[in-house]
Amino acid sequence: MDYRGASFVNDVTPSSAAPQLATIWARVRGRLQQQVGEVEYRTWLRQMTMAGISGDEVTVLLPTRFLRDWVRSHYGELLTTLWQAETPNVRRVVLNVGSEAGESPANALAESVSPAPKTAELHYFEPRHAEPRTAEPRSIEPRWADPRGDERPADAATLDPRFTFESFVVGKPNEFACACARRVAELPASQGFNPLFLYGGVGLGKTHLMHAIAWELTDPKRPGGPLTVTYMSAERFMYRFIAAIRANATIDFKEQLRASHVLMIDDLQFLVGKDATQEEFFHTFNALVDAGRQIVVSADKSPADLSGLEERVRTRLGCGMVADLHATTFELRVSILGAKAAKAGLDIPPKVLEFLSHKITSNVRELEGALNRLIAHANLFNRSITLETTQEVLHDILKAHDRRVTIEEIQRRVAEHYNIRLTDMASPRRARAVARPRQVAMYLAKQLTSRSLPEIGRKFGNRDHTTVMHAVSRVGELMAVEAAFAEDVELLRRMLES
Amino acid sequence: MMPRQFALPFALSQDYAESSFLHAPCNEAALIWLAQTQDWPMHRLALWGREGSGKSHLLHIWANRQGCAVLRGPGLRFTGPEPVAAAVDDADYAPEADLLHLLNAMAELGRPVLIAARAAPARWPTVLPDLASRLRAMTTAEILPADDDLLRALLSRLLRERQLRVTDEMQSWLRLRLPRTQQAMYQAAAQVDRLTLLFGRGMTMQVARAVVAALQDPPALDEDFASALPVSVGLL
Repeated sequence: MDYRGASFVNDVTPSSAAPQLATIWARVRGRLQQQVGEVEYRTWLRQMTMAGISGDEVTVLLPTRFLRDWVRSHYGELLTTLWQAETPNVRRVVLNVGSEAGESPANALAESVSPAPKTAELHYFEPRHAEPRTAEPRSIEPRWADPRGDERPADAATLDPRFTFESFVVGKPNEFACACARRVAELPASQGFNPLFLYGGVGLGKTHLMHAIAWELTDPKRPGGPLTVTYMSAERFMYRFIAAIRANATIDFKEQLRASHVLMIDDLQFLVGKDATQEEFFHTFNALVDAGRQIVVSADKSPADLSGLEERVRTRLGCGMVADLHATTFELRVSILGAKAAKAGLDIPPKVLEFLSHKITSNVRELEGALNRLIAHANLFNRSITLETTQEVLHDILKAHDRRVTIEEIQRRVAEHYNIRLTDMASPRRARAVARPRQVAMYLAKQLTSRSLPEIGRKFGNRDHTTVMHAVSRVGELMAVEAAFAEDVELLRRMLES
Repeated sequence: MMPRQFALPFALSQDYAESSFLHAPCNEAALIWLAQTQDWPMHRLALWGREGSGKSHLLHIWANRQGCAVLRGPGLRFTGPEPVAAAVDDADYAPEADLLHLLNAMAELGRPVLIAARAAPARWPTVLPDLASRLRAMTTAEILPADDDLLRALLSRLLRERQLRVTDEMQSWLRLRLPRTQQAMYQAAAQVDRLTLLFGRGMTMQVARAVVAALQDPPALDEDFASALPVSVGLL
């Protein structure tokens, strides 16, 4: 199949035949919808638009590369059959990425993508982008450098704008890795730093440093001009590779990769055990290193410890600079949270930051995740951030599990609190000194468990469910008029819930 | 013995329309979260609450608004990012690697992911460290235990859906004796349906008592098993 994209769209038949074509297209879509069903149609096919017909080829556009690949592999044949039923002279349906609006993504990109170096003799870091992009210089995304510059991959990974060197909080555990990353960002492919291998446990900042490097290298204001960076996670590498195999487009895939100045692969551990993908990665890796281009790789273990990776791959990975990110210290955690809060323009009590730094020690992702959750909650529900709200909002990560409170536990706690015997909870005695605590316990049993009222009654000496109902409403009434009593009950409830 | 009507189980198809969702204080926070997809940190949200609390319903409402399908956790297979958004029900039963890849792929594209499970994601028994840390960093919306008003509205609607005429008095009689969960309301409606057919006499006290007996609280682990053994309806 021919995927020439933009150029093809331009030489389709002019719109004279358009009305008739539109009718045919509507019929094809209708048939398709009938055949695949409403849900599938809505999910995958609704966004199709027809670009035109040229000779015996019909061109259909889809907004993203992923959608196009999906439609091609799942509905390609059906589409062709349906078209042929309408206009027998159509021989094939070509699927491209683009939209009806006419502007093919490729055109939009044309001015910013440099003709990719197909020849190795091109000197690598000479200025390539003479004119800096005008609008929003920071919005540049790493892209697939496509030799034919024909389509902008709509599903290319985007760089997280938060992950820059400025926002990376440096402390003892990560200063070496950060320095190496900065060095590569300033002088890519320099001796001893290629490849750069960053490793460390989950959520310690590998991806942050990777994105920071990519931001620096693609910055239009970069001395010498921005470079073409291909950044992707190993899993993406894998599924792109597999998709390429399925679509018989591995050559394209290889060329795309080898055309970039800098290749960055995140979370390499996901290639462990995936032999075919590893093989492809290894060849790409060698080709790029031989061409003097920078490679940055991250993983959760050092190259030597990445068992399941071929020996030659490990050796090559370890032959540049290997830098690790250590677990955070309490001080670093407090500074990370402080920096983040300051960036969000929020005045969060130091107590809360220290509490979080003390409680969430596993990694930075979880630490920041907790702060994000707090901030989002505070914004959404218009509440201030205090120790109390922190504990309430984050109860699922601060406590190992939500204990289901049992009626027995409630009886025990309430009996202790009012200094009566546990057996009095089930005894027939009606003296106020035991009857009131018993009512409180029934009230709490209704509030804190989902047991039926007869079940609660049974636990209190086989009392009737109407007795439980009476107790619940009596305690409610008393709480409304007696502040001290209400406080008492609230205290008990909190003790039981904690 | 009189021949009895054989009652075939009759499962009603779930109605996931937005209009039929019962709003209540216990699900208000979750509804607010769902309405603010653009504010979700990392474009992710986990919905959790006990069985029958309306997670799947909310998931469908949200998916419908986003224009995406609802995926099922068990058997989830990652083949590429979802086109617009992803909704995964029973996400705690999803194969870990597939869920991780889905979360990552969607995050890279800035597309929202909503997952639902009975427990908060931080408490799932996750083995894969990369997934565990992402789950622990995830914003959650908890659906709290149902209050009395919600249970009343729910039981009444479920009975109506099955076209069972049960007086308000009889409904409150039932509710007062049933476990106070949505799940119990669903089971009660199904039992009323089954038993009225079995007895062939409409809703009577006999049916009501049998429903309550069938739905006794299961014994909690730390409680006396023998005292709480459910009475089998078959004995009636």
